[in-house]
Amino acid sequence: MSGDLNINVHHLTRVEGHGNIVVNMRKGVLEKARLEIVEAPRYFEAMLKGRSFHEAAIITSRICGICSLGHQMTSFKATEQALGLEVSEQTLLLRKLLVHGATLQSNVLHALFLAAPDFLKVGSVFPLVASHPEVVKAALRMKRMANVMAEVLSGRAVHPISCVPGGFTALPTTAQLAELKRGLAEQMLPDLAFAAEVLQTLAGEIPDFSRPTEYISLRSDDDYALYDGDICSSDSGRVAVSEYRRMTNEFVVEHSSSKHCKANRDSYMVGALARWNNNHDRLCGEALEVAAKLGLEPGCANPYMNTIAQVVEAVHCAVDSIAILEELMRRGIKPEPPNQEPTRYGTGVGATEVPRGILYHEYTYDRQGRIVKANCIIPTGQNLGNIDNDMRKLVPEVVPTRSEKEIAHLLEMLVRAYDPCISCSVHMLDVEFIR
Amino acid sequence: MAAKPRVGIFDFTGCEGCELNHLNFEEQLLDILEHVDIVEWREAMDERADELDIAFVEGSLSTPDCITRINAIRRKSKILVAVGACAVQGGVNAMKNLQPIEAVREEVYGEDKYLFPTLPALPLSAVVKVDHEIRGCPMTQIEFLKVFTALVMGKRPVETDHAVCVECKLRENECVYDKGMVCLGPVTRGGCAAICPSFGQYCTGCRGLVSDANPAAMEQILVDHGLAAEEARKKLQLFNANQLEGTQS
Amino acid sequence: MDRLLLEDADLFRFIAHLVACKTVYAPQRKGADSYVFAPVDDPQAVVLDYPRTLHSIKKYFLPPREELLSFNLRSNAFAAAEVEPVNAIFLGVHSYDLHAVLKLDHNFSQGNAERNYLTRRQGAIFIGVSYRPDRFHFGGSVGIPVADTTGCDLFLHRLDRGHVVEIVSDTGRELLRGLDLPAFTGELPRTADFEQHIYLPQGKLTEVFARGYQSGIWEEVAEKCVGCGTCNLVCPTCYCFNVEDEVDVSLEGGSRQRHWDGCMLREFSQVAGGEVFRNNLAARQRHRVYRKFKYISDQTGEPWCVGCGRCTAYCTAGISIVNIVNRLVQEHDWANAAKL
Repeated sequence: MSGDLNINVHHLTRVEGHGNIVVNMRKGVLEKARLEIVEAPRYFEAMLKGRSFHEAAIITSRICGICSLGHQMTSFKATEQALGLEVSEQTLLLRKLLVHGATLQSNVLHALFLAAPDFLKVGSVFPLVASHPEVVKAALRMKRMANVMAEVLSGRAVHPISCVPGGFTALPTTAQLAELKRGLAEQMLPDLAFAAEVLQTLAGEIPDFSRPTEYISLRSDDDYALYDGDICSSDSGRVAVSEYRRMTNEFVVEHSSSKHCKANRDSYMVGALARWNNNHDRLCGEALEVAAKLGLEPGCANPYMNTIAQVVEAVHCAVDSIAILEELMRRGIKPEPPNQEPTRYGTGVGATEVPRGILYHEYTYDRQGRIVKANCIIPTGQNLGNIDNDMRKLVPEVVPTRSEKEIAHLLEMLVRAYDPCISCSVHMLDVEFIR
Repeated sequence: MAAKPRVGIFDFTGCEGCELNHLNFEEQLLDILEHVDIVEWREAMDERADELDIAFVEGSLSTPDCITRINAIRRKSKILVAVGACAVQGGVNAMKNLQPIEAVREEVYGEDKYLFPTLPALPLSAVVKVDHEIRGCPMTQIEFLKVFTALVMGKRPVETDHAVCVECKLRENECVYDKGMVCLGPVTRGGCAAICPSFGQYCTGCRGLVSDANPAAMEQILVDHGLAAEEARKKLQLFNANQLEGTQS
Repeated sequence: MDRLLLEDADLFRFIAHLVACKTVYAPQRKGADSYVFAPVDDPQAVVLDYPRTLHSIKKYFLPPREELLSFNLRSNAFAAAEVEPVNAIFLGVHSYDLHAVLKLDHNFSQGNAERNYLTRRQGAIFIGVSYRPDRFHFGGSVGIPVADTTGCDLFLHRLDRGHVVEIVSDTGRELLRGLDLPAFTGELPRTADFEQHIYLPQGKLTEVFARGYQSGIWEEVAEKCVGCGTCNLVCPTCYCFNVEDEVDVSLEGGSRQRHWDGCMLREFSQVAGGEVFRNNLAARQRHRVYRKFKYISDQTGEPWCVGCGRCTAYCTAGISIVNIVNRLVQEHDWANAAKL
C-alpha cells in the first residue's frame, strides 16, 4: 500500500437524504475525511415567517417525513410555551405514546431494513426477502404495528393529522387502545425478542472501534426521556432546554449544507447511543436484558453500537407503551377540544428526543400569533462533526490492514450507524474516498 | 407473462416521507415486489441501473444539480411518475419562491449564503415530461396502489380530478366549516378519502387544486368565514404557491 | 283510534320497543352541530328534534359506495354482490326525505329497473316526525308540508311535552302492538311556518324554466361557485353514480365499485376521448337546477326538489337554490310584463 487513499462515495445509499463520503490520504497523511452534505437546502426557517401558530407544525412536519411526528411534538411544545397554552394529562399520555410509536417505527426500520443488510453482506433488504424471509416478515409486522399506533392516535404515520397545538382534534376509542395493547403484547414484544436473537448471532459483524466523545441527550427524573426532559451532557451535566443555544453552537462549514454543532468538545454525539449512555438507568428491565444479551454496556464509545442501542430502546418503547395504554384505559378517554386560546405572545423552545437525537425548535410569535422568528436544530446536524471526527480516527487505524473497498464499506457503515437523516439536517449522505 | 417491469425510485428536494410511505406498504410490499424488479433506490439499496421501465420520483427541483439529475432520469425511463406534493406542485418548498431568494438564503445561512446554490422550487413537470402523478403530502398510498397496478397491467391510470369535499361527503363527515374552522377541501383534489377532515383537521390543500379550480371564489369563501384577504391567500399558497397566478417571484 | 299520545316520559320505552322489533335507524348527533341517521344502540342517543341530517336516508338504499361485483382475472370469473332488503325501521324521518325516497323509487323503476336499489327498498318501515323549519327549509313551496305523512307507517306530531302518534298504515298499527299508549283526542298541533319560499306556482314551472336557460344568473352563480359538488352529494333526490373497477395489488382479482357522483363535477361531464360537454361552472349549475325543476319535472309534472335546504345549508360559498329559482321567476314575470 502506497499510503495514498482516495475514497469518494457519491450519494451514500440506505440513508435518508443526500450525502457524500470523501476521504483523501496522501503518503500516509490523512488530509481529508468527511461527510459532505449535498442535500438541497430548503429554507424552512424562512418559510415559517409570518405563518400562524396553527400552521407551524403543519409546515415543520414537512422538514422530514421520517421524523415528522418528532418535528410536530417539538413544534407544539415550543408554540405552547411561547403562547402559554397548557395541555391536559390525557394529551401528554397520548403524545408520549405517539413518540414511542415513532421511535419503534424508525428504530426497527433502521436496524432491520437499512443496517442489517451490512451485517448480512448484501446491498439492500430485498435479497433478504428470499434469504431471510422470517426476519423480513417480522420487521414488516413490527413496522406495521408501530404505524398502526400512529394511524389510530394521529391519523397517519407520515405527517400526522390530529395532533395540534394544545391537544388533539380527534381521539381514539377505548376499544382501539385495547386493540393496540393486544398487538404490542402479543406481536410486537415476541417479534422484538426474535429480532434481538437474530442480531445476537450477527454481533461479530459489528466493527470494533472506539472513540469516546461527549454524549448529549435529554434526561428526566420520571422516565427514560423521549418526549421531554432537561438537556444532559456526559461532560457537563444537566441544563434547562432554554439553554439550548449554549449546548449546540451551530456553525456553517463549507462541505455541508447542514450546519455543524459543538458543546464542550469540538463535537458531540446525539441519538440512541447517547441516550443509552446517559439514561440506561431509566430503562425497563426487559430492555436492559436485551442490552446485556447484545453486549451493550454503559459508557459505550463504539458508534457502530448505535444500531444496537436502537433495538434496546425499541423494547423499552413497546413495554412502556403498554403501561401508558393501561393508564389511558384506566382513566377512560375524555372528549376535550384542543386548548388554542393564547394567554401570552412571546418566545418558546421545545426539545424532544426523536429517533436520531435531540431536536430543538424555537419560535417567537407576534401579538397576532404569527411567527416572527424560528430556529430548528436537527439531530443529524449535531452528529455531523462527530462523524467527521470518527472517520479521522478510524481511517488511519484500518489503512494498514484493509483494502480500499473494505475501508469505504466501513465508513459507509459508520455513517449509517448514526442513522443520519439528511432531509432533516438541511432542512444529509454519499461516501467519497480520495486516498 | 413478459419480463417484470424494472422500477427505480428517486428523490429530490423534499422530506422523503413519500419514499418512507413506499416502505410503509408493509402488507402489500411483498406483493409489489412480486410484480416488479426494483433496480434502483438510493434510500433502501446500493445498486444503480441504466434503464428503467418506470421511475417514481419524489421531491421538487431546487438546485442546478437537480436539473441535471432529473434530465438523466427522464432519459433512462420509459414512464416517469411524479410522487407527492413536492414533485407534482413544488410542495411546501415553493413557499420560498414567494420571497426574494437573497433574503431567504440570508435568513438561514447569514453571510455564508452563497455557499449552497439554490433555485426556485419547481415541480418536475417544469423541467421534464411527467407521465403520471400521485399526489399528496405525503403521497396517498391508495392512489399509489391504483397507479401502480394500472401501470403494471399496462393500463392508463385514472387521475382524480374532483374536490376533497366529494370524498368527505361520501364519509358523511360534519363539514369543517360547521365546526367554525376554514378548509381548502372545496378546491383541493381528492383521492385521499378526505383523511384530514376525517381526523378533525381542515384540508391544507396538499394534493393541489382541481384542474378547473376557481381560486378567487375560494378566497372569497375564506374571507366570508373570517379570514383577512392576505391570510386567505397565504392559506391557499401553503402547498400551491406555484399554481396560483401572480404569486411567483 | 288512529291517534295516540306518546309522552316524552315514554319516549325511550317507545324506542326500546322498536329496537326490540327490528334494526332501527334514527337521527343522532355527529360532531359539534350535525346529525346523521345511524343504527340505534342507545335510545337516549336518538334526537327527534333536529333541523336536517347530513345525508338523507337515501344512503341506506343507494349506499355512497357499494361493490357491484367481484372478479378473478386468472379464472376470468365474476360474481355479483349479494344485496339484501333493508329490513329496518326508520325513525324520525322528515316529510321531505320520505318524498325523496318515493321520487328515487320512480327514477330507479323507470326504464331499466335498478336491481340493487329496488331490492334494498323492500321491507323498510318509516316513522315520520314533524320539524321546525329553519332558514333553509322550503318544503311548502314544492308541495311537501311539514306534517305530510305520505309514505309513512307512523307519524309523530311534535307537542310541547311529547308527540301525537298518527297511525298511517296497518304495518304502523302492528308496530305499536304491546306498547299500550293512550288515545289522543285533541287537535293536531299547528306546524310552524316556512321562512323560505319559492314563488313558483306549479303551473308556471314549464314556462319559467323554458326561458331561464339563457338567464344571466348562471354566470353570476358560477363566479361564487368552486365546483366542489357538495350540493349534489347532499341532495336526497340526486342519484347519479360512477362505476370503477379496482384491481388488487396481487393482480389476481378485484371488484367493480359504484359510488355517488354529481353533475357539478368536471369528471362527471367528461366522456371518453377527454371531451367535457359541460365545461364550465355556469353550465353545470344550470344543469343541476334543471334536473330538479325541468328535465324530470316535464315528465312527472312536479318539482324534483323536496325543499330540504341541504344544498344551500352546506354550500360554503352561500349559493341558494331558492334565490336562483326566485330570480328565474322574477325574470320570467318581468319579461311577461314587458310584453303587455
